[in-house]
Amino acid sequence: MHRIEAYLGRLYRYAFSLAREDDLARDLVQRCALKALGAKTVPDDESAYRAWLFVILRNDFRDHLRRHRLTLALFDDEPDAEPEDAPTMEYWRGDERLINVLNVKQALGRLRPRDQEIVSLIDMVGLSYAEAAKVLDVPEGTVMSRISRARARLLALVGESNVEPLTGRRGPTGNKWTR
Amino acid sequence: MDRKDAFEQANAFLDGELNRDGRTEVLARAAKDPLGAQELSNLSRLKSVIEDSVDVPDLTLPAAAKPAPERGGRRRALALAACLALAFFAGGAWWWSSTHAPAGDLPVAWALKAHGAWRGTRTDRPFLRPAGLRFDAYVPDLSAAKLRIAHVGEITAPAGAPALVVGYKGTRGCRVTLIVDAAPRGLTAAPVYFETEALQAMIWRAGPLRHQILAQGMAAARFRKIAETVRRSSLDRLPLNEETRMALARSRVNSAPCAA
Repeated sequence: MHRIEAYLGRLYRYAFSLAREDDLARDLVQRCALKALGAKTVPDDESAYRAWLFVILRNDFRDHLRRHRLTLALFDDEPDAEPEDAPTMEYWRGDERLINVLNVKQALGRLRPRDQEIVSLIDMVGLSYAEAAKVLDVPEGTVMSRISRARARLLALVGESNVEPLTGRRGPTGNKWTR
Repeated sequence: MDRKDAFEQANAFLDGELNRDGRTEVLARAAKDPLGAQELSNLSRLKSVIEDSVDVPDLTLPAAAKPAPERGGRRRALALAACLALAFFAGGAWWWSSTHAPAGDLPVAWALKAHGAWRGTRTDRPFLRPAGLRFDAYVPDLSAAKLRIAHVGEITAPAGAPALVVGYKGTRGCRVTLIVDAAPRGLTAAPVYFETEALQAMIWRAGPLRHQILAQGMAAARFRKIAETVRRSSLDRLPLNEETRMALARSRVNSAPCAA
């Protein structure tokens, strides 16, 4: 088994979070594999190798957007300022059963691309803050604040969900499930 | 510390990014503040659900990307095979010699074969009893470590006795096999480890049953955490507590995917 094969699944998760479609995500992974295997110098250290792979994939996605004259806020060179819609830092008081795959998938789709990307790198791919910082070319502290802001926003979106958990108990009208 | 910093620290805690002092601080805050404890639980759940939110298809390297065999590759492969065989037999011999006298035969080869062979059915039942055994084996839920039961079956051990085989499958190529059969005399609850770069195994006794857990290519620290968790739950016969679940999740986040 080649070293890169252990990372194909994780590369796909990241590619899918960028591309939001299966075909393009697969293409990105395949091209990344070709580039990595054809590279003259490859990092020996596993952590550096991991970050290097995701940088290749990210750059390829950026090239793909350029080729198709598309733009994505992800690659804006804006400073990482606190956005106007910054989440409140109060405790989230929703029902924890709202945090389910369906609601989280929907909420992820509503996140800003920059938030989606950091959630993908940390939670879907499992990179450390240092590795994610290398991929995004930002300081580690920025990764720390981005991921916490992205998760706060995600929880807020999940809390707005109208998909409520069922308890198996009939409501007073007899025809509605209630919490 | 303001609320924003506390929230960032809680996130960093779950991501395994804090040092010992930072971890202690977060846990102390959670112990004093029920809302803080609930927040950790919510974030932990969110992190776990996010991980499951993308289905990964079966991916293989394109034919053009497969590295061509190098000159001298065959000779190198033979040398590697010889080294592996030597390591395997040396390791097996050490394992055997360190445990043979009290524990009876330790079936390295057939346990490895069973580990490599399983494909099959799922189960959600926590207690399973192989035919011919008088005791239930406790099968812990390892979903916190992103390992799901993918196989439950029985095999016959070399001595002719039945053995239960439980296969756990991860999302990053990891396979963990738990084999339970009747314990030989002399085997104790103390764990015996067997580790090489490619193979990790642990054996112990829980009640009248021998437990063997195996994995290949898994990060050593992660394997030990999982194996110790399974050992403890086989002795306690209880589901994992929240602290253990979080430790398993953190251990997974901090480890590389399985190489085997």
